[in-house]
Amino acid sequence: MKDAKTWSLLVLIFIFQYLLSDILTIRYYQPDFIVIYILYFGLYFGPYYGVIAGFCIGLLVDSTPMVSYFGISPLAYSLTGFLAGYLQNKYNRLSPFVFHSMWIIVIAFHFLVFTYIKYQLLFEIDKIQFIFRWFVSFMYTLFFLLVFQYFFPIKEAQNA
Amino acid sequence: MRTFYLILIKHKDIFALIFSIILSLLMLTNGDSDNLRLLRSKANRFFTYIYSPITWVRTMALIEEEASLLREKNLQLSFQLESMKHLLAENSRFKKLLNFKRESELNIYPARVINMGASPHLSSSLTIDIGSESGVSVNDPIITPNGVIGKTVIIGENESIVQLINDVTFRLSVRIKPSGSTGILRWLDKDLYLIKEVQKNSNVEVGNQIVTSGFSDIFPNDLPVGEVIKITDERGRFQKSVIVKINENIGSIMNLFVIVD
Repeated sequence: MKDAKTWSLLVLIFIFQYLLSDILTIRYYQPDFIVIYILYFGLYFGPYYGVIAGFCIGLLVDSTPMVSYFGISPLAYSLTGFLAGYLQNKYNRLSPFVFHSMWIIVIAFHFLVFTYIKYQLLFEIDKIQFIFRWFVSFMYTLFFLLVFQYFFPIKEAQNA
Repeated sequence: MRTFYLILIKHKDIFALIFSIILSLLMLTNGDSDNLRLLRSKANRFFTYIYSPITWVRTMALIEEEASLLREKNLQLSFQLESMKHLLAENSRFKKLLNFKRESELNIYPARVINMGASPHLSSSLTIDIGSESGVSVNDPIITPNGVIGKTVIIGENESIVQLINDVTFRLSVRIKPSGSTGILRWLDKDLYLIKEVQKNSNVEVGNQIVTSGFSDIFPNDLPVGEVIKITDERGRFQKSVIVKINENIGSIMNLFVIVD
């Protein structure tokens, strides 16, 4: 990996998420800045590094006090890194609509994994509420991602 | 061998993904192993250090609010004290009559929250500032004045990781008062909890109090938990579901107590 700064930034994003996401919590929804970074990371460096970055940061997340499902974050973030990496250099090959839809689906899938794990009982009882929880948590992070996109467009992140 | 190496290089992204999936699954299945617990305990100590400025800010922000609440509570308690003195005398008189022996003495230690989880999705654990040196061990109940909020799971020398009641895998054997029906409480959504295994013919009403049943080896009986807010009685089932709201606001806990054996 040429760019050591990007790896340092990964740790900084983790610390930012760790220390400050509590302030941005609205009711029970926290923004996931890590997934935003993993998306950019995958798009810029490709699936191989996307997986490694996702796994490493997931491991850091689970090393903080977390009791259940130790190991779920490396799994989810590495999968997201991999899928984001597969979109590398695809902006010119795909139509913008398809390209943008695909990374949004990747993020939505990431949230679906976590929402299912967290709200598995709610999923059994009330599927509408479950979908609502998933959608709101996903949209909240997507909002930050769209703001971030304004300054650092995703198409530029993958050298398009 | 060379062909394998070339395939490995060509598809290194897929191999990396498979490798990370296998490692993650190993962690998921062996999360409770001693070695991993030790590693997590060490990592927790490090992250507690990083989190200490936030703990300080949170404590400072809450201290004023907490002080006024305590003053109010103090006033209420002083009123209650008088009536309780009378009840205590009466109670001890009845105990003598019944030859009652106390089942267990609870040792309660105060603790402070010093670290929270970083996961934006599954943050249902925290770290407290007492550990094995204070006599805390695995599966010690964690309570606040409002009731049960969790149990200890990983113990360090001077810190312990607590599994909160809103963790996906947390289960609590409870009793509904006054009917005496029992069931297993688990987290449902926000501050709501579900007791599924309540007998259909049991007389449960909205507003009934939920306490620990005492069936578990971890929690003593009659610790307060919450209050019934909804009962769903599905046709064709032998049991009904009871939705409970717990007394404590889990998100803003800074001080709590550990019941040590």
